[in-house]
Amino acid sequence: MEKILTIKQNINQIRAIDIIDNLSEYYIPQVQKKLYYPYYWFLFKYSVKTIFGEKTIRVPCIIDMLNKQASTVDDFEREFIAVEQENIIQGKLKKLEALKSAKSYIIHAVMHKLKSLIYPEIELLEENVVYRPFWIIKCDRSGYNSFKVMVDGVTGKFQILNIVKEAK
Amino acid sequence: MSPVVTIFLVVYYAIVVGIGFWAVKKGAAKNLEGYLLGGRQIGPLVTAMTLQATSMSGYMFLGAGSAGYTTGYWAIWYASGDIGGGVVNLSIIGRRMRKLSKIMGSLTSIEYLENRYPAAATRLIAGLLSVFFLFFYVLAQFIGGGKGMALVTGLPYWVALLIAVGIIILYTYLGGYFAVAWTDFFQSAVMIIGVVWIFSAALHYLGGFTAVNNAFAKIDPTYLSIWGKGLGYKGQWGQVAGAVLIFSVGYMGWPHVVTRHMAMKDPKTARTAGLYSTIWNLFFVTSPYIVGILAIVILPNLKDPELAIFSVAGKLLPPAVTGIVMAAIMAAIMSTADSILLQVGTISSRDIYQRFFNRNANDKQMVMVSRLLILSIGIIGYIVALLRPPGVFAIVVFTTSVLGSAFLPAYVCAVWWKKANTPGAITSMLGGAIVAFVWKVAAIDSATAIHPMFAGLVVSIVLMIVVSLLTQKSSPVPKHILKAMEEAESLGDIPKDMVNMAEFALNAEAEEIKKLDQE
Amino acid sequence: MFGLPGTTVLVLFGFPIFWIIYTIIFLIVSRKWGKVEKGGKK
Repeated sequence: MEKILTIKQNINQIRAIDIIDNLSEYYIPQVQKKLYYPYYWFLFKYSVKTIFGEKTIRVPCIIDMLNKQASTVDDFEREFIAVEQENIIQGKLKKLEALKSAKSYIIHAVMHKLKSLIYPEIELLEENVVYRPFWIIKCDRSGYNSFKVMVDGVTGKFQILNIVKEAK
Repeated sequence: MSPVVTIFLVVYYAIVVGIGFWAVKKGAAKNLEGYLLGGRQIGPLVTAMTLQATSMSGYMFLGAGSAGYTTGYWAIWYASGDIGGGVVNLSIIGRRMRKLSKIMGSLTSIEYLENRYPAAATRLIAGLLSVFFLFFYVLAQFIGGGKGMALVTGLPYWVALLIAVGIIILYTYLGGYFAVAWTDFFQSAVMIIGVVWIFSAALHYLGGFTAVNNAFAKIDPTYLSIWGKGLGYKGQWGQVAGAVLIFSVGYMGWPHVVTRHMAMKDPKTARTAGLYSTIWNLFFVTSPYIVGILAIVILPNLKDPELAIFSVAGKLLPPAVTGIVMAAIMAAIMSTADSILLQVGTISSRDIYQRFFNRNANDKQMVMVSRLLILSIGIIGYIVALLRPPGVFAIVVFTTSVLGSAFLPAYVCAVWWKKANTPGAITSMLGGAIVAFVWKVAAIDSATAIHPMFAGLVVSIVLMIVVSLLTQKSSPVPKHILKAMEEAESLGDIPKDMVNMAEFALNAEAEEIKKLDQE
Repeated sequence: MFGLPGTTVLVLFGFPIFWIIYTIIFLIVSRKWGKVEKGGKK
């Protein structure tokens, strides 16, 4: 077991099954496992000298540790929990690379949104590796191929994973 | 205009700037962050309103007005397409493009094109076309700001233009929007009230819609015809087709419009946006054209048709109101100009400079490149706007024709046609742009009665289809792209509801988890 | 109507009606587009 920092879960197992059940009438959904997907979370102090004085805002950013994609993120609650090693997805991204990616991204995002053509001073305020819980659910139906779905334990949104082709 | 107008204009700006100072000092950072992160606290209606209002610009107030003033009801063809532009865009491209761009990790619309049609040439052509033609769109805003300022303050055009261009460039350089970010909503509200006021005041002054048209019948009945004053366009369906296409589909070629799709938080936003867009457009898109038409009777001897709407405002609204409304309008024009300039800056620094000249360019260098380019555009734009200002209507229609012809098939086929490949896209972009450009510049549109938008679009569509099909074997669409374009692996087995409601934003994570499963 | 020739009225009101219908159809066809669960966005 390992203790990791996760984004606070809002969707428990029952709820997750429920979400999928409501959409797949003849299938029987079952939770296979719960995976924890890694992100780097950075909180930056973004400062710009404007004509009205120095303007500072805090900008959070998360970087997907597997495919390096960056995005800004709304505030979320965190919790420290103990999780089985095998359920933790290992990130491939090195921190330095993630940091670089994050900085570039927020400069781009802030400049565009606030139409500011000034190179900012960026300071890293906080950083963490955070994990997002995903329920991996398998849907079975006799006589049909099964398929797997992943449900975001924070938002309840889901995405289809793959078809498991079985002999009929 | 009366000095009261100028006074109120200055007072309005002083208030906005004052709010800015106060906000910076007080450090109202939380609001700014909320605004930055996409307005979750702000709510969908306000967001939609602000979004639409900030897309009001020089075209609306100068271009549309002058079109109505000079051609009468012919201008309605342009409005007709414009009403549907938002929902067409969102319904055809919106959701799928967002999904694809998230999977491919594209940050800008130009990067998106290169990701979908892999080739350095794609980025270069798309980048150069965008930068070149966005310049003309900015030029239209410069002219709008300059003329508006000149009319209100009575300053000579060259001074007013200098002030307008100066504010536009410097405001971004100096971080002005950090201060006024959340006054966007307030300014939008002022502008909306202003437009409604102008429109109703004009109708009221003339005694109603029917009375106006009867007045036209006495001056020159051909104003009432859809073929325009003097029936100049009679029977020219090629021109009509182009006019309707321009703002319904043509503006899909605008990088900043496309980028907005990529930035949408979820598919539900696209639906809501489509609804608000239509509601908004029904009134606000048609008003400037109609006010321009009404101005023919209200102010029959205007020297500059582009000032039709401003002049009507000056004549019919109380001076204080005119001052405030004009201030809000000009703020919107300058804000639009800055948004476009930012786009140009990003495209130049990221899609051209970093991509082709300096792979290792860091953020600081790219910001420098952007700043340099924008300053240059400011200077060149000022000179052109001063010496040989093109008509705002003509230039926006021209630019939209070229960009729309160039990019429409590329963006639509990117998500809808699996056979659309790189050679197809490149020839389509080049062909469409060149034809639309030459068609207008060489006045082929007058000779053939076919609008450059229509001609360019036909060519770019044909090229996309024909070239893609001919080169399928030699340049197949890469597998990873085909995979990204598919909704799900085998649709048949998975309940359709489930497929429809799957969250695109989770595609990236899903791909990674699938890979792990296979290991 | 409104002192306008028939064709003008047709275009002036026809297109808005067309776009309203288009939007309604779009809203109906897309009604299942990604509903968001409670719990906030990513």
